[in-house]
Amino acid sequence: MKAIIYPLLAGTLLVTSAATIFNVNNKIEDGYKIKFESKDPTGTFDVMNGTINFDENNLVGSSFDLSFPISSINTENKLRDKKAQTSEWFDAANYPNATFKSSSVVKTDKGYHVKGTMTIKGVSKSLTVPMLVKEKDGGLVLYGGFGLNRIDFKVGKPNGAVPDVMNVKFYIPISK
Amino acid sequence: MFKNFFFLGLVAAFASTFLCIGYTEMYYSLIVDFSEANGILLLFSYSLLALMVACMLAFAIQKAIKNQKIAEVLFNLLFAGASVVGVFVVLAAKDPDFQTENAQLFAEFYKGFLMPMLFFPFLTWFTLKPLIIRS
Repeated sequence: MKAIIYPLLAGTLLVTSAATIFNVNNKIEDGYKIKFESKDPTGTFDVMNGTINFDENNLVGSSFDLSFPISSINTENKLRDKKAQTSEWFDAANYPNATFKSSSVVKTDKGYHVKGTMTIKGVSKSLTVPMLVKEKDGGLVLYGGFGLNRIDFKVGKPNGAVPDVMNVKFYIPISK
Repeated sequence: MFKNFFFLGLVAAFASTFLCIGYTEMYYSLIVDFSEANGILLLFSYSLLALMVACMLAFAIQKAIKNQKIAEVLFNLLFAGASVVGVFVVLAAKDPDFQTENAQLFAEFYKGFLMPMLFFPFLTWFTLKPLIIRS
């Protein structure tokens, strides 16, 4: 028994240090919410894929690479969800995912600014996402909100019944 | 026997981290502050990773090769070689996206700043070895 204690300890230290250096992804926990709000409609992206590397002590190494399947749009109105998939709106057949890839994470007075590129319907725009962080259940919760002009991404027509600017709110629990 | 190598690796990792902290603090105060890319935890992790691999390798080589002298030379060669290879890895790596203005301005110094620290685990291992491993 004694003979394996030191190799075990060495192996544990090796794996832990490697995980710290190579910044192993935080696990995105269940219970995340990606919500878009306007006067009408309001809904969610029920599915979010991708990876988050967030370390408050290593912002240079932090990164976000996320995608949101258009098929997971849920406005609690099946006809409207179906319409969102059409070429006039998100054109899900040609552009099945909206994506966000960060380029840098910067600390601010209140929280962080995640700078990156948002791509929707094949149109890519630079975006700065204000983000707050709190501790919960031994992990972290990343949350915040920002306005997104759907016309910038050629989603729908301008000045229609649907407001041009949608308020996007996110709440993402992750492991530390 | 592994116990001795393990303790040598662990003590050398702490010593290497202290050296790194001293070196980085001096560099930051004299030249440019790259602390946003090199936290203490990261410096410790680099030293620990290098020296835990070293302690496993030293033990494995000593078990595999009966001739003590050849085993030692082979390990020393591998450890020195890995440190030198580290230089090329750093040269080939992409610079971090620095946020602070000073670090952005002096970004071309970053790789040169890292180079000496690549040899700290090697130096501390061989400095402390006579205290922990008896021939």
